[in-house]
Amino acid sequence: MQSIKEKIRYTNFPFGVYVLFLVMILAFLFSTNGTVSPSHLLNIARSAAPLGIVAMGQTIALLVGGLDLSVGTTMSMVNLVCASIISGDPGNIPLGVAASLGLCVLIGLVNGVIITKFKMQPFLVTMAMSIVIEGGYYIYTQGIPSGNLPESFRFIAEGWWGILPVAVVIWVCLWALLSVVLRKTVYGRKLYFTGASAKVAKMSGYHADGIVISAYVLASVLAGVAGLMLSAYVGVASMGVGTEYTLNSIAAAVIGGTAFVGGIGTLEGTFPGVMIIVVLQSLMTILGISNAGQYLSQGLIIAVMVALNQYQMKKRR
Amino acid sequence: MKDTKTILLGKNLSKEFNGNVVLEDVSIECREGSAIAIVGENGAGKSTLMNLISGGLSPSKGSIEMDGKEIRFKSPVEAGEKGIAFVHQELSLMEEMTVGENIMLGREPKKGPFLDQKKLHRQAEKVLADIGYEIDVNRMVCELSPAQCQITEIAKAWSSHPRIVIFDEPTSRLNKAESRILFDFIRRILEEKVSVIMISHRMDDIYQTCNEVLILKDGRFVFHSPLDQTNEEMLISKMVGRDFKNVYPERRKTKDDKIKISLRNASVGSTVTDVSIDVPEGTVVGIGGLEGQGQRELSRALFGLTPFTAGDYMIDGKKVAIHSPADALKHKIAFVPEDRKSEGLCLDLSVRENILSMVLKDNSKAGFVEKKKEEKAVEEGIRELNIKVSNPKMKVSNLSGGNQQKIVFSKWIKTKPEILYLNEPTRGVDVQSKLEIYSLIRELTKTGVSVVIFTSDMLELIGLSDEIYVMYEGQISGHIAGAEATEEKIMQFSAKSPRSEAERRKEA
Repeated sequence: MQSIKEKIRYTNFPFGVYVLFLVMILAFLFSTNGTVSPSHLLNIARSAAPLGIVAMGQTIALLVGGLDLSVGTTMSMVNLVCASIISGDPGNIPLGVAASLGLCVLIGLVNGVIITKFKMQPFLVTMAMSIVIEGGYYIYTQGIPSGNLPESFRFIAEGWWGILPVAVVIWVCLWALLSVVLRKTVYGRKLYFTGASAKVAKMSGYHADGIVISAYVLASVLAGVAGLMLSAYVGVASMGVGTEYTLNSIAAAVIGGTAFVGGIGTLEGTFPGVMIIVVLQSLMTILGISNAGQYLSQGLIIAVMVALNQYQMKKRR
Repeated sequence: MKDTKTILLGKNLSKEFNGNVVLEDVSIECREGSAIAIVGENGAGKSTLMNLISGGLSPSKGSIEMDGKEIRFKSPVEAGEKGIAFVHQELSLMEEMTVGENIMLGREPKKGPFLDQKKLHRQAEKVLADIGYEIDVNRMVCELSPAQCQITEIAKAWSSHPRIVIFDEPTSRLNKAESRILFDFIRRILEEKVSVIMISHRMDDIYQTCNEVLILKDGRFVFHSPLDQTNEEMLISKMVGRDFKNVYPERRKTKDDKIKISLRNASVGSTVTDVSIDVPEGTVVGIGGLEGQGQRELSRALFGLTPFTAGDYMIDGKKVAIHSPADALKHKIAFVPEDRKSEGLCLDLSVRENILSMVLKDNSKAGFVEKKKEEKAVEEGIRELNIKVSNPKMKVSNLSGGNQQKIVFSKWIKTKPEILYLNEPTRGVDVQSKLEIYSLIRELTKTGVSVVIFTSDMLELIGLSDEIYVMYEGQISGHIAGAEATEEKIMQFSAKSPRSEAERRKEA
């Protein structure tokens, strides 16, 4: 008994956010008077997949002691690039995907290298990057986005394998993979340690800069994957489809217990963080509450969860 | 002394956190003009007791009376208003503000609705002058040395004209001369009927300033007496709970001829010039001197944090180029930095994560960590260094200085080093942990590890080192065998440069 108590006391598993997630689902089922089927919930999860994937990248950037404000425009950029390259022809899919993700790797590298080598604030560097990307795709499209995506590509967002949406399967698989990397590998441990203190990490002989750079590359590439999935939803090239994902991804990570100081947080928390945001949005829509109410309640939830996470951190001593 | 007026009386104070009793039934009486030394090992409850009487915590049981009336502080601010000032060991200064602004924080003089900056800095200057130090009050705190920060912190506490001043390890960042000024100041304020409480691990400090001593152990009261009826050995044995005669482990008897590390005419910019040192295998070489004579820079260059600008650095007779901690690790060098909080440990992570941080690879297979091996390594680390934790997943920031320092040692020893550079290894560490660290260092030398210890603690330098080098203005001003070293000899070398010695000889 004692040991279970101890385990709970010292675990970094984010129980609080799962409780909130559960409450949210109950509220959802209750307010819709049980007219909602489980598949409806799966459908909500399906629409949450792009946010879920980009939020994992954001969590990694936060864990390493930074943040990435360029993930939203990266998603927008991927949408424009892959749609224009593929432009309805399934034969062009590999090229479109490769070009998109290649650009993401480049963006992550530039972010990471500038942050580590010039010792600049991640906030400013990634904000500047975000603006540069936006300028870049305006030049690329000349302001007129063109291109669309074929059915075979849209399968990753719209398709179902039996009762499971393909998008959710991709999301959960990526989650499982990254979770193992963060929890069970030497690299993951070093990432947490470097995030907690880059100075101590360097003193311990880590290649701390490399770890930070890799985290930004991961964040960018995950934003790229999220962008591909989002494009599969939208089906066409469209300006600024990813804009809202920057702040939502930070919100999801923070609701899930990831701290801004680095080294604290889990992907296990980010998952319900994402779901809470998306379920809340659906709930508000179903209840016919305006955007204003949506924003207010989302803001409130962020504030409450941050306070709760802080409290839990203090208690863990 | 006995009939002076009581300012504050803490009666039968107890404190528990979630069922853990950290302080049980301890009383303390602060009288006008008395200075109480509070001593005890880490986790003895010293800080808890101080926090109870200064409003940082509220007691679970017991009461606090001030001027005969029962009182309950809601916060340290309220206690401050009532005349209780606490000079914390952890500095609490605003780095981006001036010394003056920090000293007068919360008590700024106003001119209409605006701050009166001129008056503020004048007042701050006066506070510093009262204490007996000179620091330019217009300088930013971030530009100050650790000693100057400590003094600013003291001035900040004193500026509120407190009736009780609590000092937590006030001299840990001060050198001898600076400490002496502080002690003079304390003696002066005692005459002005201020009451002083001092937590210190340095017996010297206690005997120089205090007139009473209160010993705590494991959260309980052990001993209280006027200081003049005690002696150092008696206090230590009461504090540790057993007798011991010799603080320092025995020196090595046989001398190894093999030179492990050798520096030839090494320089680091202008802070270290022309230093030559030999470290025989399996010995402890101490580097002493006054604070700020280039010791810190030399230690950092040895570990590859800053480059040597001239000279040769040889290990096992071969020239080496060490440009980063990663290079140093390849040469089996370990380094205990002087500031464990910013460079030694990740405070927000657990004991477990910190102990394992250097040996992730050893406890993994194909990039994946092996939990069983890790558990074993952590368990061993905690046991070997006698680290006091109830659970290895505890956050390091919640441990005492002594336990934190042991974790730094544990983390580095896990790399199985052949060379160990220690920078102020026992700063802010309690007596019991100090002893354990000393014997650990000795044990390591027996297995062939070569140790270089940079310390400003004279007794530690003499007690621990097989050979001693003294630095002055970036140069080696003296070299003595440890067994022949005395405080006087080292002080002589500490105060004059080899250059002026040579010049003097030339003149003669």
